[in-house]
Amino acid sequence: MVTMPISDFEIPSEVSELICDSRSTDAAIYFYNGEWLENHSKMGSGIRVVSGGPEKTANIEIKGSASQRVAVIHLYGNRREAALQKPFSVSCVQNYDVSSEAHIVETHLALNSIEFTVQNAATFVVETGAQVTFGQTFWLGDEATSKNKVNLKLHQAASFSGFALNVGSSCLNNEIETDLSGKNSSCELHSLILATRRHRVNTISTVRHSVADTKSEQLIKSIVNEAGKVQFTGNIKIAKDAQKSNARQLSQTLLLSRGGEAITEPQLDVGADDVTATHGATIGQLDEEQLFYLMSRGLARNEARHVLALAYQREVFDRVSSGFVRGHLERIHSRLPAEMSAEFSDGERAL
Amino acid sequence: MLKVSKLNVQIDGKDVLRDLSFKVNAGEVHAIMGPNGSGKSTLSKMIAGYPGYTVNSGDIEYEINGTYKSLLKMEPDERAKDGVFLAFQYPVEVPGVSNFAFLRMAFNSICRHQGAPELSEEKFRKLVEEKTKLVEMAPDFLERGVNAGFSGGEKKRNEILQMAVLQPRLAILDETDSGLDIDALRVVANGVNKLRSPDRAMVLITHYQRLLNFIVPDYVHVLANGRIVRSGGRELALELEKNGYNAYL
Repeated sequence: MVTMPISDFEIPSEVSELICDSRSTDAAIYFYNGEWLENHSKMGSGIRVVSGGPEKTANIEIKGSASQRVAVIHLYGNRREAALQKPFSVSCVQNYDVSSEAHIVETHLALNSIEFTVQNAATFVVETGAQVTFGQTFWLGDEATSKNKVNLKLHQAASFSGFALNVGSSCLNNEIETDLSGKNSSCELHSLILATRRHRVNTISTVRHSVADTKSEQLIKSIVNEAGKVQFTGNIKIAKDAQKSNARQLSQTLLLSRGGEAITEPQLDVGADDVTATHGATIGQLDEEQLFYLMSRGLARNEARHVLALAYQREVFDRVSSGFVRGHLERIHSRLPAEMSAEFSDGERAL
Repeated sequence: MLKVSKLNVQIDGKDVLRDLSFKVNAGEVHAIMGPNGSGKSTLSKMIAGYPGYTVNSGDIEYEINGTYKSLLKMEPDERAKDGVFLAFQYPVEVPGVSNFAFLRMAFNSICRHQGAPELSEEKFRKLVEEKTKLVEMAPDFLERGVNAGFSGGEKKRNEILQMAVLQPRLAILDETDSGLDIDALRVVANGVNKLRSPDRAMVLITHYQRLLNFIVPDYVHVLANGRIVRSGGRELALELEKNGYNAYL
């Protein structure tokens, strides 16, 4: 690969505005193709980047007095001329150790359509009583794939609210392992997945209720259009001693094309006898009654379909209570090309 | 303005409207009354363009600029853009879309079609807030999802608000009185009465005479078994209230 000195790299202004509202951010750490952009990063206390070696690791420790609103931004792009570009692979590692309240966004964004692979790992240790809101976005382009592993460990009375925005990438593989290991710990794991063109998004989520009085809630909303494919496997494992656990999981897919595919596999493994565990999965199309209602007020069919698809997505954003995380996700979502958020071209028909 | 002629409609192979004919001129208010299952709601949905009904014969024609054209060939949004409005019996909930955003999209869509300038958000908000007074709705209503979690009365008021904002030429009100208590009925009826005009025609579809105490029609039709069996003036509604529909079944 022809390389460019990393010090020459400039972040396009529309990208920095899009992904990071500097006024409301305590720390913003930028990487380009896995290299730490030290000059562009605004470091906060408790944040350390280990450079060198095969992996570039960001160690982020958030204590009571440390930074609370943190943006980790991974940008990917070609170096020099596109013609000289060869497929490449990037590895990113984030270790988040939180013992207070933190709002964190981690964004993986390709600046142009190139063939590359990201191996990403994010590990969270949420200490006793700490609260984390986390928004993770992958938007890598038609040629790129990622393997993303998120590990969560929650101590006593810790809470974690996670939101994933998976869009516009050739293939995204997510593996999310959650261990509710402390009493009264709770997690929310919500996703919005938009698979269009030939995009694939595979997610395997495993939530372990290891002790009593733990709570988990998951909402996975997908829109599949054109030849997109979404697969979700949701495992909930409740240990023998984890009495009074409460686990809820709902996977909803809007299937908008004949060529799209959606597979959902919820799996419950319940060892305790006094628990509440529910799961549900729906795969459907746009509601004809709603469509008629909007059209009867003058919205053309495709406009009405787009409005309904956006309304369907809204529910995920509405669950993000952190203004910092929500604003970040909404900014990115608002910049998606219309066809990715399910706009319809003329002549394209519903099922 | 509206001409329904010898309309025959089937749903799932069953005849629902049979040789139905009637005519509505600009400025007139017609009431169509009839028992359950007589085809009233089918008729209103047909006029608005609900998909899935089979028209075996007959036509629904609508006059624009002096020329009648068949509504049956038009998509629901094209009918709306040309001034046809249906106040739904069961207004549909659309969570995730705010009432205000929805109204603005609808309004601008109709403006574009009719060659009128679209309104800025600020100007449109002023217009809508003015109209909310007509149906005694608090302006914060506008920020809620379309009909999402609304009570029955709020939904019906919202239909009339939409009508007030979109200013249709032909309004079909499908059982707008159902599920309303007497105070809500008065509010909704006042809203409708304020929208009566020489250029606008209205068709009220209802079971009960009660609504017609508040909105006085020019003509009353009795619909039974899919056809209009009797037409008359306002006194016909009073007669129906007294004697019921049995004579027509």
